[in-house]
Amino acid sequence: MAVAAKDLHGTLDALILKTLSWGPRHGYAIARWLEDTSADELVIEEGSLYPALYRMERKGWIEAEWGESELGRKAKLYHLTTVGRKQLRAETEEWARFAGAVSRILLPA
Amino acid sequence: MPRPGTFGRQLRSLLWKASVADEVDAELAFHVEMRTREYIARGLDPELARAKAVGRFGDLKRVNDTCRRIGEGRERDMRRAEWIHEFVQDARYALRQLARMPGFTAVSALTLAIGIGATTAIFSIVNAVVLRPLPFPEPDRLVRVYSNRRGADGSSSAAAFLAWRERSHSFSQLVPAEYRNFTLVTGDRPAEQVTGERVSADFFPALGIGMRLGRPFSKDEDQPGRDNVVVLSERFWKSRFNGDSAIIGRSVRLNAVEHVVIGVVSSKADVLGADASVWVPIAFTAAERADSRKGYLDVFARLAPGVSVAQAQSEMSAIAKRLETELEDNRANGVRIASLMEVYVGSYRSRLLILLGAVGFVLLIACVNVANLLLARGAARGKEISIRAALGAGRGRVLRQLLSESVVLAGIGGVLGLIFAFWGVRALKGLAPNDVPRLDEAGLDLVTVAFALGATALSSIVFGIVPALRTARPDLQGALREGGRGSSLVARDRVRQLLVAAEVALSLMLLVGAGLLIRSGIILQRVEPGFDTAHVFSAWLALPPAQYESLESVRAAYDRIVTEVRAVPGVQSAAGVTVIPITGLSAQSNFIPEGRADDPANAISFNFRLATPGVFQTLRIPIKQGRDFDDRDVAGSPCVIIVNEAAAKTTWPNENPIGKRIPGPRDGGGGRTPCSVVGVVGDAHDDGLREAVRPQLYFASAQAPGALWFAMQRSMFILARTTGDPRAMTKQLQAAVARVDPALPMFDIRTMDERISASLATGKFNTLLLTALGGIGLLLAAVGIYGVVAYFVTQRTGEIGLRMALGATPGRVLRLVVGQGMRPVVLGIVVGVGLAGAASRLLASLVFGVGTRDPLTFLAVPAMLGLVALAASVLPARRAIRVDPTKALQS
Repeated sequence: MAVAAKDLHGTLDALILKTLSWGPRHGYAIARWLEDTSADELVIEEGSLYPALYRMERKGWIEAEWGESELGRKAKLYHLTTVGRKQLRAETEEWARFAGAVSRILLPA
Repeated sequence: MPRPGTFGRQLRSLLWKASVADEVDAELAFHVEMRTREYIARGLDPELARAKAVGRFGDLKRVNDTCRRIGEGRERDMRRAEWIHEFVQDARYALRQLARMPGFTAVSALTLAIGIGATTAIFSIVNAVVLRPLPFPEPDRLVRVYSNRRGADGSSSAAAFLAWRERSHSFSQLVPAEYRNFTLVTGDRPAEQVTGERVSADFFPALGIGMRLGRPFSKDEDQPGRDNVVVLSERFWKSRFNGDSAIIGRSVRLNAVEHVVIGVVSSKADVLGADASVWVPIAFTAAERADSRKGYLDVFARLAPGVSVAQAQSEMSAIAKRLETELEDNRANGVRIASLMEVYVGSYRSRLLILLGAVGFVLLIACVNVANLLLARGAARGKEISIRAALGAGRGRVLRQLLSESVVLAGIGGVLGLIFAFWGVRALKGLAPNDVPRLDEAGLDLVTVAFALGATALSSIVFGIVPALRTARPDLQGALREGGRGSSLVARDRVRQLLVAAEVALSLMLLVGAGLLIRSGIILQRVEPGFDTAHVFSAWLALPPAQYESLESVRAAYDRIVTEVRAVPGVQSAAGVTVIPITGLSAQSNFIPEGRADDPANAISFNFRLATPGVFQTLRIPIKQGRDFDDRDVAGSPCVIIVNEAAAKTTWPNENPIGKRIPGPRDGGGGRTPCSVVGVVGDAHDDGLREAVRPQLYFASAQAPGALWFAMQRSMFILARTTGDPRAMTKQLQAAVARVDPALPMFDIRTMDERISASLATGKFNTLLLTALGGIGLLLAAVGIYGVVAYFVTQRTGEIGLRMALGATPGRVLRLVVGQGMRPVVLGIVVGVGLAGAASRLLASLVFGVGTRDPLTFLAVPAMLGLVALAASVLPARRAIRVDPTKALQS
């Protein structure tokens, strides 16, 4: 079942950061990786992805370089910064707390 | 070490000038391409695949725009960060450089601090007094409406006011105020005199003055019989009633009538200049409404929306013309409307702006000095700059770095200047005359600090740009060669000389201004007041109408008071008079001398007053002809008057005034009592020493009718000439008055000497300030000249040594060096005299007794400036003589 990006509860940023923690990627690769890793549960809307990337670049969490791509033409590759790593840690903890709280209510043992 | 990303971006921006828009397009196009391939791989038709890929973006154009916006924002952020980073670098470098030359930095910073501090202090005052709008809503719509008779503004009658209100469409509100004295009694405290105002119920709302406590008058209360209410001023409420919040509902006795306190008005009301402690409803009686002759109303108004002052003026002039025939007496003729701001600060605006201009000159001189110093330093740094340029620093970078030195230097000067300004404002507030409105609100507020920042920034550009441009353009080869003497040195000298000339010119202008004011002050001091000011006690009394209803009681009271005062030991002579010299509070009226047609053209305006016998003796005003009032001149005997020489010359030129008659005050029967002149006295200044003496007319207080006493509010000044210090006799004199009426306090107790000093205070203050500024300017200019000559000596040591080796005498060398120093000074003096001659016209309103092109000042000031400059040149020149020729030649 595909979940659209707008249902991601604002965790799109965290997902992108996590993706990049495995290494630099361009926008398309980030989208594909998320789709693959979530077994197509998460369908990323491109209309949200790129603005998110640009926003995070402006905030300094990620940085970009133009490099060689699979197609042989230049692509914009993003990578995580130190600040971005810290942000990822923070958002992960936040998510864990949130999910834990919700789970305790919705899925009592 | 720059981060990899930044380096890459910088490199990229150098190599590949792609715009953000292009990059976004490329990135999104790439994604679409990849997606399309993915769909094709899954078996979709290529066109469908592409369409699906694009479709996944939703509105591709909008996404593109969003990303582009964010991307451009990011670029801006980075550029700003870079700019700040570079500036911080420059600033740190500049600080290090400045620290390395502490002498130069100290002198420059101090010079700038003086200039910026003085300018900021003066601006703070100009802002508080002149520039800020009045504290009322829409203050530019507020005006004063005067009855104007033959060019003189005066107060208005109730009939005229009511007619205006009824007929005029130019105002959304028209409100009256009348000054009134009250004797206030509360509880069992002794009676005191307070000033008050009678105002209409809509007065406070019309002007937008809010209440601190309680409420203003209602329309009901603004009627006779229902008007026993009073509003206190905030100041009076705090000082007299300790700000007691339970004051509302309490009763006080004003002029022996109970009034209930219904409110306290905010201190904004004080702006109207009335100094009132209590406010009561004006409550026009029927008699007042019909009265078009007597009028003491100050009329304020708020212009209707869209109406200009000019439009209101023309409408009111037309109305006034019609009223001329409709109402009795010409009181209503002529109306003048003036904006409230103009009335309030008008006279101060020009004075303060002149001061601001003068202090601006001082700042300019300070900047020129620092520029000179920077040029000197710049010459010495020629080598350092050349090396940097040789190493690849672009001229722009070097220039920017030098400018940041100027900015940092200005910053240090500015901070110090703010501290100076703080103390300066305090000092000025203390020294300034008392009558400057809103002066106590001056201080280092936001606007003033912003001004200081602006002045600092502007100064840094003014003094920094020329030296930076010159220093950043070194003659590479010449400077790196040993000795460093290139053609640029000569050019630099010329610039420095021009700067010195400019300093001298500015300084001269300041000093000419100060000189004119000093001369005015001296001449003013010598003006004969027309009476002997020493040892004269003066105090003001007002008899409360409730206790002193009848004319006889008023006359008797003052008669007894003067008698009692005369009896006090130590009093040589005493008298009562309703107007005393210098205070400027004279009543005026027009009289037509007997024998001339009853035509307004024949009416002569006199400053009139009521006097007991003995006034001229007490003040030592000489009686030129005839006699003083005496016991013969009482009620019932023929009406007599005394005039001053100015009146005699104006009214009866070339004739003997004694015996001439003027129809005096109305006698209640419709006619006017003819009064004969029995004496002519010397001229004594009514309005301070600057104004010419106007025609004056004295009525005998024992003969004056009730109407005149009512007009004077039953008040009189009591004068006493004492053998010793008049102030020391205050208690005895108060006791003398108390023997007549213990509840009658004295008001405005001062000696005549003190009144004269007070009237001269403003002029003295102006002179003091301008002289101080001139002095600072002169000092700075002298320092600048000294610096230039000293620098010249240092630079030309070799040449001097050569000349001396070739046989030049010390005298010749001295003349050479001093000549160098004085050349720009002479130029500056010539230019300065020319400019001062043109600009001194601005001081026309401030000078007295001298023309604005006064030859004495215009000779003395350049001479003095020349002498100071000579001294400033000779001092360093003496160093030149001591040059050892052999050592100089070797360097």
